[in-house]
Amino acid sequence: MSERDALGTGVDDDSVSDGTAANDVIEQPPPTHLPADAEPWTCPHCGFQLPEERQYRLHLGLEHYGTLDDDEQAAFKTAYSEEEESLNRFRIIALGGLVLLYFGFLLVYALLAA
Amino acid sequence: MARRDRFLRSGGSVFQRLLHSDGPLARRLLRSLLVAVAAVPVLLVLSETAFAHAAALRGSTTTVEVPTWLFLSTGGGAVGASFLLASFVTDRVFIQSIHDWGRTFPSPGRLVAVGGRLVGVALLAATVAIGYLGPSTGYRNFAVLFVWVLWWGGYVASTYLVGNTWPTLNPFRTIASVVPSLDRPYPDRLGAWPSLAGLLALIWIEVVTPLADDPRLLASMLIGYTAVSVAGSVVVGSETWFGRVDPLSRAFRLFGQFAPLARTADGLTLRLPGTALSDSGVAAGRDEAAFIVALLYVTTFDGFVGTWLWAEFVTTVVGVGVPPVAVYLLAYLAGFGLFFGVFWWSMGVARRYGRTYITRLALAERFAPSLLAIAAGYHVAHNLGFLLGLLPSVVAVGAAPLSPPQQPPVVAALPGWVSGIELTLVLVGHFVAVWVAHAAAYELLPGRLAAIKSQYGITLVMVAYTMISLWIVTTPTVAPPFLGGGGV
Repeated sequence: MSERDALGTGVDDDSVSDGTAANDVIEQPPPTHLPADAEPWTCPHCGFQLPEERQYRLHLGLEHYGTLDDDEQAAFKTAYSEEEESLNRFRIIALGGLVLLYFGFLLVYALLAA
Repeated sequence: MARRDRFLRSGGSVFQRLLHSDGPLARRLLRSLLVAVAAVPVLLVLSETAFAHAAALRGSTTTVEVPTWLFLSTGGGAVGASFLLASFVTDRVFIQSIHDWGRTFPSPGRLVAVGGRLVGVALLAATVAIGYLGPSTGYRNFAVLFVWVLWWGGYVASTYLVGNTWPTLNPFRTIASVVPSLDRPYPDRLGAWPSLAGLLALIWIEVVTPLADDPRLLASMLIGYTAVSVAGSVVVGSETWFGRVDPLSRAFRLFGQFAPLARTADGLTLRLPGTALSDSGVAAGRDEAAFIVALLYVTTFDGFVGTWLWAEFVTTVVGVGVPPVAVYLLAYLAGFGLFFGVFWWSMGVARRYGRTYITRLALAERFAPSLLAIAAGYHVAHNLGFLLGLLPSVVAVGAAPLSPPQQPPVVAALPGWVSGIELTLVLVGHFVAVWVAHAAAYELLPGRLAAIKSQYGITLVMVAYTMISLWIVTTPTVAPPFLGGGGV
């Protein structure tokens, strides 16, 4: 696996870009706006502000993995695995939604044809 | 880096493992599987909507009569289902690999570019001349047929189906670039607002004047557009004028962002259609996001004024004593305000459900380009039947522009599959838009579930818009009241 591919996680990396496309230049984190009572987690590398610790850990892992120490890397992996559980719950609901949509329409069309 | 990546690939569920499988073959297999799955709703809806359309048009007795509400909600349901399907794809590496796929070819030489410029200017000159010298009936004048059928219906489609060739062909630019310029600085605070105003004004003129019926008016309009372009270029320079102000150039540049071919510093780049829409920098600032919304809105308004609902509304309001032009103008501007307001609201939803501090504006800059896929799909739906139906006219009138036949031939009854294709393209545009929004969300948000939830608002907007646009496309066209000639 090439280095370029290894970085292809859908977000830009803090390492140098290969400069093949105009949008490959290192991006600033998106600008943020905080509610009055917010207590943000602020990324020490790029200043990006996040509302939750899990998001903060994920951000560090996805954007700045190379600069993290072992503890932070472990925290990223934990956050990633924990997210998997809630994702699976969501997938079941989404699947239910698809089934409902499909059979809902099937029934309506069947009733109409009858 | 590679360790982090390996970890990302070793994630939990079977589905996840399937997505994370390393080999290029597995990835290719999965990609084809995804395409196949995506095709199912398209085929389903194609057969259903085609029936519905045929039934609506001819009251056919051979097919099941599908009531409009069911037909519309099937379209909306298909878009909703595509969001749910996309939500299963949570692997950033996989999403990125689809969007990174591409090939690069050497650019065509300067000779082709110079030839293109000359052809563009020659066509403009011929169109203006025939507009003045040819017959005064719209459907017998080649200028009208050329601009509305070949250019608006056919060429504009090529800017998103093939690639944006307008910077080369643009005759206004070629003419303006030979005029010396004062090169005054363009005020940055104006941004894309003048070009948004220009787009709204152009479509306004197109809707309320008989631009499609009166060749003289059309020719004068082309001369006026050239004059404005030259004047603008004299003040700020043609590079700035066509790069920032000219609404047509901006619109085609945005459509070209959807196209599979693009010109880059390295040459011609081939990519999957729509995948470049999730790049950052497609829309920068509220003005450019608003321009994209306007691009979607103007085609909708253009279609909407041809429906019975609009005819009834405008007749009622004019009956109360409001001048017709005021009704058209106020409704036109209010409609745009509504479209932009709803889009802005959906970005608020993205902020709330995506649990992020990212500003609405930053979200809008990345989500708005997905709407271009919908605008492209809708443009085809609006123009394909029109283009095919009038092609014989174009050929017959084009053969003898100054003495065309009295009744140029048209295809009286297009085969049923044409409307089937139109409706499918409306839906395909929406499917691509759902995918682009999905990819954009994954680039912005660190959490995978948050990225899915951030799309709730924009998905809802897309479902609603599908239903509205399907309704407009399938409702029989009536001439808009109080406009004299009536639009195309």
